[in-house]
Amino acid sequence: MLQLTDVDVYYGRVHALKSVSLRIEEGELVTLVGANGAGKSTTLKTISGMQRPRNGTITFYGEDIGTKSMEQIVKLGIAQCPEGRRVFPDLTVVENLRMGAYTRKDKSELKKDYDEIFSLFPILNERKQQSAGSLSGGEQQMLAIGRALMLRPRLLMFDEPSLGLAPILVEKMAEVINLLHNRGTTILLVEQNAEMALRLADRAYVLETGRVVLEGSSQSVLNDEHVRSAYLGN
Amino acid sequence: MAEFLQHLLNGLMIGGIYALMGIGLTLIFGIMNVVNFSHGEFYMLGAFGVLTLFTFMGVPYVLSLVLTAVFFFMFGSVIERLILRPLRSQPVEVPMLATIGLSIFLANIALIIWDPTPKDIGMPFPLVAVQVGPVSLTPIRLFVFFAALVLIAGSHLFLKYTTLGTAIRATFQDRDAAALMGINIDVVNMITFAWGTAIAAIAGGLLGPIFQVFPTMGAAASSKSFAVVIAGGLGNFPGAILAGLLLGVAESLGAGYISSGYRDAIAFIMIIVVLIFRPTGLLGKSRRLG
Ligand SMILES: Nc1ncnc2c1ncn2[C@@H]1O[C@H](COP(=O)(O)OP(=O)(O)OP(=O)(O)O)[C@@H](O)[C@H]1O
Ligand SMILES: [Mg+2]
Repeated sequence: MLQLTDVDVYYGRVHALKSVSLRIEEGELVTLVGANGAGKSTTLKTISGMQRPRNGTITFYGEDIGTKSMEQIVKLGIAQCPEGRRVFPDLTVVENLRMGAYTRKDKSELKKDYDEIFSLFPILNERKQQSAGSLSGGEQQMLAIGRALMLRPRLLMFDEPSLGLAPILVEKMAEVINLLHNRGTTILLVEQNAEMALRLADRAYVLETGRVVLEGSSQSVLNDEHVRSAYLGN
Repeated sequence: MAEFLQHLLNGLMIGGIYALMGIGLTLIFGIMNVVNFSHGEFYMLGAFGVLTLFTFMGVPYVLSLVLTAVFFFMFGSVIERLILRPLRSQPVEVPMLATIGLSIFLANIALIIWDPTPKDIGMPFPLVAVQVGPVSLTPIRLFVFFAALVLIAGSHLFLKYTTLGTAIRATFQDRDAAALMGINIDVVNMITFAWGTAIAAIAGGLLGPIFQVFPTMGAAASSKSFAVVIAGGLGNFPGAILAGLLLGVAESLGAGYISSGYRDAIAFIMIIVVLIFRPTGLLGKSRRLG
């Protein structure tokens, strides 16, 4: 469904992505692992249209999205749950969720989605009318995921959902991502926590300084000598 | 006591207008990161719009205000599209300089069209004062105050309860995250600027009949709007309302009890006092919306 072909991205003179190619099939959970500054967030930003590829193409269901506006890309059903959560701090929980559905035309259907998100994260229901800024880090991460789900995305991208969370919450995030995957959502997961990501994913790409250095089934990547020593600490 | 109440009420009326000017300017800054030096000229042009429609063409006053607001909403959209949007990725002083240029241009256009002599809009309502207890209120002043109140409340309700208003607040809090929701930032900017322009023009049209109308009147209006925005905290919507009302009352009391010569100095005294004691604005936290 999504295909990046030889994508180059620059920040000024910094060459952040170097001829990156990757693809995601419908229903797959694909992960992108790599160290600090490898270009994982840049890859997601480029898919969302926040950064533009200088060279290369990005297609979604065969349609070129490399030059589309962020709004058009969201309307095609690509949602991103960004690094650092980025909830709107002075909006309430419900208002944040409503913003996730901003581009949806079927506003009368939203009730169902709220209910579904509240059953996934009951704590958000309790905090419905609270401002997002008053939530704990874990609750904010749940809200950021809920907000992305409000789009009913065809492709859901997570940027480091476990970052800064206590181990028990990391486990909770892993469960939720696994659940969404089992329900058939197509997912692109970016993680520094390579262990967790490789455990959840069907396939994986390893990024190093802007280049894809390894790709394959999660199992084969897990077994790779270099990956084991560089990312898994054994 | 009666005199004090009279000054207080007059101050609240002017303060309502300052608050209107302030909320537009503060939102334009908060959302677009644009320091808009033409805000006073939009106010001046609004007054001339009402002068032209009401005084010269005989259009009813309230309809003149509505038509002026609609025209300046469109005018603001065009300014955003043609001048500010192309400068969006530039450092903050570039669009600021552009609005300074625009303010000079607009003031001179007004000089050419309407010449420099101050003009009277004339009274849209009967001049009889309504006696309420010890104070007397003229219908125009009551109208101005309630119109300002309705516009401020309307803006608040729009931001708070509509989806587009919520999207504007979201953009204010985190522009990149808002863009990731599919919120079109260009549209948010255009609506914010157009709305700020229209509301400044209405403010001019409202105060026009009480004072005189002349092409350079925008300068004083601009500096007072900045006083309100700074005292209220940059980008702070409720802060601008509070600071606007306070400034109006302080001016009115200062002019009444000290000397009317001090009226225009009070705005600057207010900025200095607030900056010394509450550097982030009257309500503390700067940048707040809703
Ligand atoms: N706005 C920016 N301006 C300039 N350089 C940037 C910018 N954002 C990222 N970079 C650079 O691009 C490269 C890739 O950054 P990116 O944020 O994509 O890495 P990442 O893999 O997400 O890292 P992390 O694990 O720290 O989130 C880095 O060298 C980074 O310094
Ligand atoms: Mg990153």
